[in-house]
Amino acid sequence: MELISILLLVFPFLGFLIIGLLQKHMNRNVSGILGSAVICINLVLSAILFWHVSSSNQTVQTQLFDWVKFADISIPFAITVDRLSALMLMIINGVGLLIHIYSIGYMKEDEGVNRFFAYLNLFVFFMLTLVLSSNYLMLFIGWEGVGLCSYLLIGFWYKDHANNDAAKKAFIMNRIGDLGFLLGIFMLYSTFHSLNISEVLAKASVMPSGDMTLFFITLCLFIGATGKSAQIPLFTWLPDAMAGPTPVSALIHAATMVTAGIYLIARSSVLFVLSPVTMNIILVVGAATALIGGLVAIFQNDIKKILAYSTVSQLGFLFMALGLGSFSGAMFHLTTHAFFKALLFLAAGSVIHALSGEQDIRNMGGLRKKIPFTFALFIIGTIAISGIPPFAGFFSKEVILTAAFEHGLGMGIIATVISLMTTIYMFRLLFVVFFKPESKALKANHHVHESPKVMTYPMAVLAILSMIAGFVQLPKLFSETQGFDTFLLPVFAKATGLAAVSEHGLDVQTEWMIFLVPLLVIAALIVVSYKRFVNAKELTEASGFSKVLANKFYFDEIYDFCIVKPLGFISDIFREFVDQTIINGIVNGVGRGTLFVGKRLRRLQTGNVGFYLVIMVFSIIAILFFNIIL
Amino acid sequence: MGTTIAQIQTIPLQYYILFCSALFSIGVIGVLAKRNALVIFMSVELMLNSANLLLTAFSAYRNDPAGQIFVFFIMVVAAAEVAIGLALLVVVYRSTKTIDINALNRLKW
Amino acid sequence: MIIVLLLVLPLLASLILFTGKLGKHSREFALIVSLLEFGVALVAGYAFTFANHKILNLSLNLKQLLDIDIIINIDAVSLLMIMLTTLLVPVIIASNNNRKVRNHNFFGLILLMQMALIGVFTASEMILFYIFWELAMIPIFLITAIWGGQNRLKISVKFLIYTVVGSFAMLIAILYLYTLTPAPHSFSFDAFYHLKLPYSVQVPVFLAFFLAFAIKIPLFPFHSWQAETYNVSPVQGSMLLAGIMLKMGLYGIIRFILPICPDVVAGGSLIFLPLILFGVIYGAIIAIRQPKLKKMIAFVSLSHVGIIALGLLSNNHYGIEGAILQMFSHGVNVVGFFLCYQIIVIRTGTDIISDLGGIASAAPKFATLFLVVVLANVALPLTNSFVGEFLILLGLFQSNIYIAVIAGLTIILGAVYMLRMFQQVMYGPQTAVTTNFRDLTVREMLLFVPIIISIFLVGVYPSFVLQMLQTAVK
Repeated sequence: MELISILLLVFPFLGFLIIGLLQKHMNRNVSGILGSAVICINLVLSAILFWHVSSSNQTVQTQLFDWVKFADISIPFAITVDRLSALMLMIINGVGLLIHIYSIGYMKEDEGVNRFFAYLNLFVFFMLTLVLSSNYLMLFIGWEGVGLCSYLLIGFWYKDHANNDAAKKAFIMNRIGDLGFLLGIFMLYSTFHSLNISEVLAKASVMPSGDMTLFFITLCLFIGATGKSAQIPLFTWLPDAMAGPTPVSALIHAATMVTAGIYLIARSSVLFVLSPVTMNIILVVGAATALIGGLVAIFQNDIKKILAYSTVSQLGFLFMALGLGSFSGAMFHLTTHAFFKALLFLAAGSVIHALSGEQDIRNMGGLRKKIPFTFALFIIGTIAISGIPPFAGFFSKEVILTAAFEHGLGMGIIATVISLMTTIYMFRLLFVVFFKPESKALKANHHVHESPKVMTYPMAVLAILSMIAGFVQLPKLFSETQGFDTFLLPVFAKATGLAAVSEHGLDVQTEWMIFLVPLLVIAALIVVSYKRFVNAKELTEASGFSKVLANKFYFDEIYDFCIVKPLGFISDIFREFVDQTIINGIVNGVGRGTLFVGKRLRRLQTGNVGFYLVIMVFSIIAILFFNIIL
Repeated sequence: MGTTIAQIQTIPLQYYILFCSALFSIGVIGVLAKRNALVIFMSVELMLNSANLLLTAFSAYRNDPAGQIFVFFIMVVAAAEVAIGLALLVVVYRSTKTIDINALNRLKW
Repeated sequence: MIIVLLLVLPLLASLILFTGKLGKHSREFALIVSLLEFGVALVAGYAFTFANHKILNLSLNLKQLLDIDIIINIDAVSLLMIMLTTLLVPVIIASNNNRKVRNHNFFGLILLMQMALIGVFTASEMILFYIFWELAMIPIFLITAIWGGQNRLKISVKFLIYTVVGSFAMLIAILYLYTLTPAPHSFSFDAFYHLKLPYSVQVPVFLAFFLAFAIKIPLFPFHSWQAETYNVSPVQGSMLLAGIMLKMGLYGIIRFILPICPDVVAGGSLIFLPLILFGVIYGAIIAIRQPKLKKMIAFVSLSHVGIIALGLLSNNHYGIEGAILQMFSHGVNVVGFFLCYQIIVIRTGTDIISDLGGIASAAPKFATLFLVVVLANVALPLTNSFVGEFLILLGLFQSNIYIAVIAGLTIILGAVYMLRMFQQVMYGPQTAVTTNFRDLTVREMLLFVPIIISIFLVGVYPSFVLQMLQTAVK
């Protein structure tokens, strides 16, 4: 098992090296197949590990070598596979494999296809490092590494500066979060003298709840998570990140990388449970992000941007779950979300592919007849994400909603509203793209075609997963066994044990309410949006408050005005004025002063020997005088 | 040797000091007042010799030969200096046809 | 005797080069000698790690002659610095392919400089140290003054005077400390280390040393020679300056300030740390909008070196150890950066960032290598500067949280200026000057080999360096 856990890292890295180094000489078809093969092997290995940890309830520990070691500090490269990481392994390699295969078709025409697969494999390597690490520093390596791959892949088409700007923005915003994470690591080390996750958690579990150190540690870790998982205030990079190729958006910016923040918090559940203040902050930030993301998504016109804001919203929802203490609920939704969001992105990619690069939904419409298979898949994804039974989204959302209602009625209603907004923007998207009468631009385009099988089959697999994944854990109403919770129980047992047990279980009546009311509203919403969006002539320009929403609450503009502009201004001031005028001026001034004094003193050198002699004699007399008399 | 010292010591030390001071002052005034380089040179020699004389006198009074050794050194150095100085003067005279020091004011700022 | 070889080999070679007999083969000769020197350094490293340490000491007693003991010896810190020097000098020599500059004297000066630098890093006696310290100035001054660009005389003289002022302060401090050593007075480091100075004496000694090192490193606000000198100096000169010579100042902090004035470092940290910290942020912010690539490197260097100085003065062994490791990494990274700079400038004839663009599409190999260097400069994990920066910040964090937090901002700012530059230069549409950009030749790729290897070697397995340093830090 130890060997397998190492090989998990070795294969994608080898894939990266081979494809990356032989870029020039490799046939464009080979790289995709090689890249996918590597991930396929990884999937098999992950399955073995998954089976191992789920059947034996043991964790696999592997020590590679000491990375940083001197004096009293020792940070090894070490791998830990427990159930949480095994789950992530399955998601990353499973979804990753499907997206790799999909990319073979999607990127076929692109000249940089070899580079693309090299980056994808590198991404998988770093993502696996992230979830496999047994200490925080190695986790940080993976954390930064996926950020790097995200940067490279967003800016994959680097000839256009818009893409590069998006990539740069993503990297820098992530770096802001990373600083928080790093500070969290420093605090962890200063407090616990170890960065080993299990050791830290064990030492922390005996600390009192509400400890100030823990509060700051968790706050810093959460700041790190807000960067990577696109939460307020660091979420604006994610919609821009859609500049990358669509498979990248599916893999990195929907299914895996952006969930790293959730993974981090779930991993450190004990720390978070012990600092209720942070939990509340997470709850509030998550809810606010989910609301804003959902609202903004309703008013976007770019198919990928809608999905991106949807991702922001769903991630906010996941953070709410974490804030509510429902770690396994968050992981459950994370899993299902990975399936249906990846599916939606891939289907959107298929649409874009069919329309040769068109992304504006105003130029679409009526596609259900032209690309029926994609349409079917898209519908499945939409139903799944909207939380309509019996698809996966329903079950995972149910867990979180229940947790929210257990926390309080207000929180429950907010969560429900957030979950309902999904319905609005997703069905709006569905209706506008597939049902609305064809737009003029589309009518002129005769090249609309269904995607090749290499793209549709992976989507089909994801669709099936989106349909059935929910049955792992039925709501408490229907089933006594909570499959998913039980699976992750060993990981979160300590955290749940430490959580303040004030929860009053909901009575059956309320549970039915939580179950049924949203469904009714969803049905109503679908009907309303069908009327509103399918029959509307054109999507009108937004005005009033909806303009604010369409412009994403002007977050970008505010950041630009408050941070980017002043920074550039300060930079210019520093360079032109402070550095040149003041500092260099002082230095040069010293030089000039010396020259000036020299020029004046030079007059003393009259050339008259008699004068020199007089000066000399009087100076000697003066010296003697001062020496003898005084 | 002993008789020399005795002879030197027959004159009180103050007399030597006064005499040498006078000699030195004459040298200083000569250096300051004269414009003829040769005279200045001679005045400098006068100052040196006054110092030498004083050194010898002290040496005799203190029974310490170090002073006299100094004198020898000074004489040697002074001789060397005179040799160079006079050579310079000759060169100066050849180029300017004068040994007035005020004519040598070109080495200035 | 290895140590003598280390010093004598480049000296002799430079003398041979100065005769000019080698003519066209000067570069090859210099390259071979510098590679040999690297081999010798490796042997020294081997000897240090595995064999007996005695061969790394040399003590000549020249009392009869000069009243000076010549004591040279290598410890872990010196060894690391020697490794850095001997690793980079071949790269620097080989990187020079400018016909105009290909002159036997040029290479002679580089080797002379190498000898002086190794002398600085090995001397264990103050006067010897000071002689080497000043000797190192001469070649770099000449290189800048003879082969530099516009205004080279004015700028190199300013540089010379500026650093000599600092050195002079150090000399006074050295002489003062000498008078404090127990009779018979001694200039040896050991004698200085055994002085237990009262706080009131430590302060002026600290100030004198700090001035010298702050100018050399350079630290804000003594940096104004840096950008100008980098800008005007030939690339090889800038590499020598930024890659190795700046480490002299940091090395001086390790050798003198830390052992001789420990109380000032411990007690006065709130006075000079904020100053350095301001310089760190200041350099980073200027780098964001700097229009010229070479000047940008200067300010980036100002920022990075400031972080190292913070680590050294953090009064925390993580910080110090991280800083020493970072000294090595910074040297490698900055030389890598200058290599990329040189390739761009030779190909396009300009180093105005906004005039460049789209190089990545024309030269993918170069783009990849440049990206690695850039990522190493932004301290991405698994590259060399991550470990150093991590330990420095950890050390700072344990000694003063606020300073660590603000210093941590460079992580963000570093990404800002580096990515902005990289995007402008490498990505986007091609511009007039970059349309015919040739990709790297094999020779140029070879230049990058030592850089890339050390980036990843130190990044992935820093423990071997860290453990070696561990004893020295105490």
